[in-house]
Amino acid sequence: MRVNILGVGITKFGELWEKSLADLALEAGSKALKEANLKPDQIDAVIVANMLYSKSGQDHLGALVAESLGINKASSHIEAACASGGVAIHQAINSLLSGLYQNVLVVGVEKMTDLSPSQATSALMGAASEEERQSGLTFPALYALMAKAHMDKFGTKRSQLAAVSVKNHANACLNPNAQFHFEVTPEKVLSSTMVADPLTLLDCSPISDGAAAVVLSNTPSDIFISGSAVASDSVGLSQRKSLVEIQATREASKQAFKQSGVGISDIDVLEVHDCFTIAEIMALEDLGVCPKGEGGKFVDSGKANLGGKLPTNTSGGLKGCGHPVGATGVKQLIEIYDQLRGSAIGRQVKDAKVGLTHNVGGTGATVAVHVIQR
Amino acid sequence: MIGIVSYGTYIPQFRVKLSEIASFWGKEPGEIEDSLGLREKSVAGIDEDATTLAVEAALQAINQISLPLKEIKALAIGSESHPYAVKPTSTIVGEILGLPHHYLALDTQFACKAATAAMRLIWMMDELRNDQFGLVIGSDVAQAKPGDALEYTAASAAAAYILGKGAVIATIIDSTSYSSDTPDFWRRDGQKFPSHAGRFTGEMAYFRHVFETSKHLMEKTHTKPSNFDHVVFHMPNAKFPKEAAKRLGFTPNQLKEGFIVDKIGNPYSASSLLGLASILDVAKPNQKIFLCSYGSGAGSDAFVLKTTPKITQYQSQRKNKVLNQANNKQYLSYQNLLRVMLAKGYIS
Amino acid sequence: MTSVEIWRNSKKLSDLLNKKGRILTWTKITTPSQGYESQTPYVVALVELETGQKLPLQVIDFQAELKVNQKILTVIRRLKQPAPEGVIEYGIKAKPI
Repeated sequence: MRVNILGVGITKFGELWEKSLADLALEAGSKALKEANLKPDQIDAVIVANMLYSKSGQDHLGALVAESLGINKASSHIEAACASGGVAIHQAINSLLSGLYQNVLVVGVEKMTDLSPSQATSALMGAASEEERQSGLTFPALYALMAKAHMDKFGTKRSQLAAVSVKNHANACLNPNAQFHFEVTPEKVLSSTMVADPLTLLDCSPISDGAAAVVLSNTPSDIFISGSAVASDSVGLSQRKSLVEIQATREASKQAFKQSGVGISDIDVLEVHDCFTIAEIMALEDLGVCPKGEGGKFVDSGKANLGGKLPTNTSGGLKGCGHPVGATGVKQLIEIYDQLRGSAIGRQVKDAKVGLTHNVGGTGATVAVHVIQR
Repeated sequence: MIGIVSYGTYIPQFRVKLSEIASFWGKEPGEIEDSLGLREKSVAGIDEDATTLAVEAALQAINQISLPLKEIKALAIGSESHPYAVKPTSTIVGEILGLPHHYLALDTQFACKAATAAMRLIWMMDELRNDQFGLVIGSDVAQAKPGDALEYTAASAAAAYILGKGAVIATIIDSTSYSSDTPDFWRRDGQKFPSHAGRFTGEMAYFRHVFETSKHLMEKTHTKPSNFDHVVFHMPNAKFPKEAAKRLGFTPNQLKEGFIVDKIGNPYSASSLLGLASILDVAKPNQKIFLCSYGSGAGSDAFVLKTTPKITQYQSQRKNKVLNQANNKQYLSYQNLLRVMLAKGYIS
Repeated sequence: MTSVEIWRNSKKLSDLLNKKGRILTWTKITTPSQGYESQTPYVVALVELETGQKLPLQVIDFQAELKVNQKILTVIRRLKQPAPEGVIEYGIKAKPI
């Protein structure tokens, strides 16, 4: 397949007290339109990716964002927990490949800081199952269960988990839009406040505001999406076949590779869903970057670093760049786009030609994988 | 004859030392312990209440004889810490246990004799005469205002009894009740903690009712204290039941097996029934048991029971006996108890 | 949960109560979910029941260190503190045996 990327736009990620959701969507959306050199009336559809805004009392986000951008044609809202962005892109691709639309704008946006931290933490559990909510589980606790199982089965060490955080914080320092611009040491990660053992505060991605937008089109451009797939699994961890792998990642990446005709060894740069450090380790395994159980070693040895074998999360990932839930999947696409067109200043992967994004909803109930090429 | 076919008990694992409570309030620990005759009391965990305690005790009673749930035609719960002021605890327990819906559910309230009162009523039900069963549970997570004298003894536990015909382990031979309007201990609607009338709770309340009821039942059944192998009274502290026994003519030896207050304090509606369970855990066949409860407000229910030969087999199969549960303990600091009370909304 | 949701859920309790199981993995939570502040820190485990069913359950009433394959029994408890005027949510928790 070939779905072209005409333009992108992104806001800073962080605690953006003065900006409302509409402000953020407008900022990212209008940047993307400008770069794509398109007027609002040339957009056939706008798809908004967002998970939590309903908690503030506002639904109907498709219309809300369309209104702010002056778009009158199709508008809709996609929710797939933290994979909202990736799934929204997939839906946009579907509509473009159908021929019904020429240009589709995808806006991923999240405004989490209007909620109190405990409200936001509870709201995120909407991505989990009812029995998980009833048992008192939190998202960090769910990934902690996977981390423990991974550590038990493969001997993965806490220091290897910490290596993910260290790397992503270092990368974020090079990304002007990232939420965090400070480095962390392995010791700092290991000794920070325990949230749900074995995960500490610095193993966990933050609560963030932000928006990211992309114009996808049937009009040819240099950089295009060549593979797009979404796969699903049980909402609850208890019903999965395995605690140490996310099967939907395997399934979605298999499809995306098939569509694009490339394999994991062709990938030059990678954006994976590191909502928690263990998630990046499992993602590298599930995408086939390294064998199952060796993800910890892979990161710890520096192979996923900027200068390494397969630079992963050059944006800073969710950990360093921030995780405004609905925006993340779109941000990942933008990071790969920047890498492929050579505009990832300060963190450029030399000669990057093929990239991959990996966006997960919940503990792996939804996974969206995209392959981008130039 | 109708009697007890099975019983179950549950004592939560936590204990709070009286000495800690006393020290916190600037009292002399030794004096408090001596005057009440106990050193520690059982308290329920933060996620336990009268409902959950009742379920635990009921499960033990039901599973001990693998009783089919549809045979239970009445479920009564006596408590003074029902979780709702309006909404029956008995139906919540019934639903959790999985009872099919054709049964009578009944909540009773009569301070510490709520369950024994229900036991008298259930014992008289037609259904029991027709080979069906009644389940009576005394369950309390007793609360007292921090700093008040009651705090030292207000404890938590549950005792469940299945009544019916069939494989009876202890027959209920006869029973009687005595009732009067005596304001010795009460809690107004909407109040979190009970109030009491101090020393008035002794002679005119506990002693008068226990004495009158017990005397009356012995007259009615043509028995005297020496006819009994075991006696159990409601135990608000370690002193009162010993004094009641003495006045009625019972010996310390008769009181021994049912005497649990010095281990866990006073779990209100479960007190005398837990004492009875403790006796049934060790009683021999064909032994006579005398029970007299007391509920403030006020009244007493007294029972004459006799164990059957079936009790020996029953005892050998009952795994987690009262003494075992009393000794299975973990100490909770008074601080932690206050934290639990804060979380449950009793104090702010 | 609304009172209707609590009611619907309570019908499932008797099937899950008093069942044996084992712990597959667990975590100690120090940053609690809303309503669990008073029980913090608390432990939640993925449990496999003797029926084959797997589910997440809070683990309570234990002293010793937990281990994978630790045997448990399901018991009834309050799930979390109810709102002052709300219906009380009872649910299943796991007690090591």
